[in-house]
Amino acid sequence: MSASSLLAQSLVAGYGERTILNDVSLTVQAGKTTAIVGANACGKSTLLRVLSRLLTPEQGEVLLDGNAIHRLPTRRLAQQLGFLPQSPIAPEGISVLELVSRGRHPHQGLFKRWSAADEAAVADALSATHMTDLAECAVDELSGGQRQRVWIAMALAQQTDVLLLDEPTTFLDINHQIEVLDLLTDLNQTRGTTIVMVLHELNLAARYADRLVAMAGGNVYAVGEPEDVFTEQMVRDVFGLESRVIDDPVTGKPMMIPLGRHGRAHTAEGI
Amino acid sequence: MSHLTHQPAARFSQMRRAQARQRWRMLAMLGAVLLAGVMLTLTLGQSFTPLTTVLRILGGAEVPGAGFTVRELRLPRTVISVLTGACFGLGGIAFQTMLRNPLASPDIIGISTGASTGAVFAIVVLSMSGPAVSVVAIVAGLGVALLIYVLSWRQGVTGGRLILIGIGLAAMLQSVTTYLLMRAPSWTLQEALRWITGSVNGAQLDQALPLLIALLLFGGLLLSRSRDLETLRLGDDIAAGLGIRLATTRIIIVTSAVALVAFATAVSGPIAFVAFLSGPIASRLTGRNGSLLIPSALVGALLVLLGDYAGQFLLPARYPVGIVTGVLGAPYLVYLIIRDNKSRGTL
Amino acid sequence: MLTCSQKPPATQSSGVTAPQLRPASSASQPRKKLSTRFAGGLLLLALLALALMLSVAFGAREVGWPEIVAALSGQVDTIGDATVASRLPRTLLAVLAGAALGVSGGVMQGLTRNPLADPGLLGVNAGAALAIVIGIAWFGIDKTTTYIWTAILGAGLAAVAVYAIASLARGGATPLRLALAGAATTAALSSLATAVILPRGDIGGLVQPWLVGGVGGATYEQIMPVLPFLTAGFLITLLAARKLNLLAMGDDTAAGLGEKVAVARAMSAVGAVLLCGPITAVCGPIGFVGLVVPHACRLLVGGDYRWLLPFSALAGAVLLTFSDVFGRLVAHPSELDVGIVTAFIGAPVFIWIVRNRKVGSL
Repeated sequence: MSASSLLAQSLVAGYGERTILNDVSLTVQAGKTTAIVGANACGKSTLLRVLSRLLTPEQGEVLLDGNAIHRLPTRRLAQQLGFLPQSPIAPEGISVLELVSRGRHPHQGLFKRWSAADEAAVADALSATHMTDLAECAVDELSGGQRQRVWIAMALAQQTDVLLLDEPTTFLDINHQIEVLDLLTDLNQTRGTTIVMVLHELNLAARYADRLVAMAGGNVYAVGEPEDVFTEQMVRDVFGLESRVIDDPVTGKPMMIPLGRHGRAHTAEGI
Repeated sequence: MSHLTHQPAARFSQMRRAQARQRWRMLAMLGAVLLAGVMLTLTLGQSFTPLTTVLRILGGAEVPGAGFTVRELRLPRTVISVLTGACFGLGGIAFQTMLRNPLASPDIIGISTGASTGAVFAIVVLSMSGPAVSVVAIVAGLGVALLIYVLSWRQGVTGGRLILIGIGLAAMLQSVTTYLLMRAPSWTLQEALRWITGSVNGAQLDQALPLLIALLLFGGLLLSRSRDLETLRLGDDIAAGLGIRLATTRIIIVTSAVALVAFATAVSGPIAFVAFLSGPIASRLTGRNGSLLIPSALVGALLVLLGDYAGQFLLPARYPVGIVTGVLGAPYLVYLIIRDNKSRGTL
Repeated sequence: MLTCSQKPPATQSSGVTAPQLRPASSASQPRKKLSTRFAGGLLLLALLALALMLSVAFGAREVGWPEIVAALSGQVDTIGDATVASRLPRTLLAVLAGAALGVSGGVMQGLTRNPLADPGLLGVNAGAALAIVIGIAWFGIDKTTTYIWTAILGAGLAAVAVYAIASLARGGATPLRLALAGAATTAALSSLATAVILPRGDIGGLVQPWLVGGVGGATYEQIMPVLPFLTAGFLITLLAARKLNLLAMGDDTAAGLGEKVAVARAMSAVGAVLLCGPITAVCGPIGFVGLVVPHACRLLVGGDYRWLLPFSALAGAVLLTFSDVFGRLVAHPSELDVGIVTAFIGAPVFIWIVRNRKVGSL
């Protein structure tokens, strides 16, 4: 499967008078999972919104397979790039099947009827997210983790090569967080979908992402594999937190343990 | 696993077909009820006219006595009720769907009031009549819609702020309407009530054609956007991600909805709560999956038709339809306020 | 809490930098300096004097100073004298109505901890109007005193109903819920009022005053019966001011500080209704005064209700008298009812308040 490349070139962006991104450049590697991490208000969500064209940058551009996305026809972009905002809200009473079917919107025209290809894409998306049996349920009756899976299924039905997600795990219990991240990893591995997500939880980001983008103050602080980017120095500079970074005993990926004022006594000899 | 899960696509298609069948059944039922309502209002008033006689009269035959009653009294009222109701129903559900809030209907956020103020201003101050009044009403309605949107814009528009600002503007416009009416040379309570709560008293058949054209034109425009409107229910960000051009779509929907409401208001005044009630009732009847435009139009038509009939014949005195729907709508609004709904953060 | 809700995040930081923050009053706004209050009070008094003079001197008919002086000393020999004399009760009513509505709005805002509370927007006026209409149509009431009692009853019932509706939802009475409950109640009550009037052609003309509020054509005979109610209302609300300061910090905190919350609420509510009910009975619905005035005064004296309420009375009188004069001048030789003028002043203020609040607190 050929994956699409996504490239951000010297982006300057913000809301009104407030500039949030100062000259951000980033290459998203095709077919990989990239996690954007950083403290609150560092510009990570803003970067994601510019990458998905929800926000037009003041300067710079975003290239998808060499085409500037802000000049692509809306519908065509939606066929290649999917976006899932932070904690979307399902309309009251809508069924899982109906909501996932909305993902076919960019593939439908004014007069084009619902086709077998549309149906196949929806069935595929539901089975990939293990929601087939719940297709008839109303979305607002599901658990938080299931609901998030429905939204991911909707984005899958869109059949895009690139999928951008803004904090897909917020407000979920830890077991549902793992469930969602496992699912995204499956998609990346079986379909080659390029995934870019903003993640709050640093350790989960390091564990699930192929590449980390650490942001601070509207700039990219570091980009690379978790092993290279995730250091005690990075945690100090990006989050203003003293920590120990150790190897995750399960995956061997880096993992951060905050020191805190009261944790120091026990780790003092280690510093 | 069973053959069902083996062929989910086929199962889903089947579900869709069943759902579509049910929708059609519901639509047919609504249509039938509306037709029955039309027949009722044409045949039974102060006196009873058999249906066959009514049909003969509508066909052009002269029937002494009944001819005048049916053609001049009942028919205009019935036709205008159905058309204005459909316009209010469509305008209401378009706003409610686009703004994802049942409270954001044009009669609550002041757009109907704006159109009404425009109409009264045109009649009382500018001494206009006929289509010119509709034009002023539409311009006023659009102006108020734009004003509400601009005033509630603050790094984006939130539903709660938009509704509150609409309520504030509506309170101001309402007092303007009342003032203009009281200063009018020929102040009558009946006439004033039309512009304050809405009424189809004194409906004329020649008002029907412009209303019908508006309904077909702007209703058609909304229907052509029904898929976009449904996708907008998922939220602006998701809709944009699914390839909807937000600005264009919003402009088309708002303009069509305001035009529908304003055309109807110019004829019947802002019939209280019809735009607000039609969508939620339609959604109860036909379910939440799929477009609510046509069901809402039918429900709106039914509300005005039956509300007016009740106001005329079923109550101890004759009341304009707006009084009936006003008393009906308020408890539902109260229910919406009381009901705890986590998915709607601002309410 | 309303004063802090305008800029909630600033509260904590100002608490650090403003050591004079008064713990017993509003937890949010630093206490204004006494000199500011003093100057503000003087300014309002001067404005009131100016408004009174203008109100007596200007109107549809032009009069000269001798006629004004003559009328003020009790002479009514010329048409000019009589014109001026007829403006006196009207001016008095404007002052009383403005003061009563200003205080009543301030109390309602404190009571509901809601910056959008106002007798007009909360459906209280509509309740008073419906009660009067029913009284006229079914019970044949015709005396001003009876009107007032009826209006107070209607206003009180409507106020309780609106607040109850808005509070029934989980999360309590947010500004949005309260405004919506007010709009719904107003719609229903107006429809009911119309339904009562319509079959009665004989009383149709009587509704007109209750559609748009105004003080034109006021007589001393109308004003006199209002006075005892207003006096009682002012006294009760002033006594409740300290309780409102505690309520502003939240029911639990107030109870923790030893205040009987239910008593405080009931007392404030009775005071507010005693003020706005009789005014609606005499003037008809005058909206937005109760909304605008307390907000303006808060900028002047801060959130302490013991200062806020008297200032609201003064500022309300100034606002309504000026609005009335303006209404007389702008539509010369006709008149614009004061209810229209206040709506035009009030709606922009309403929108400004809504715009300046955080989305979450709506």
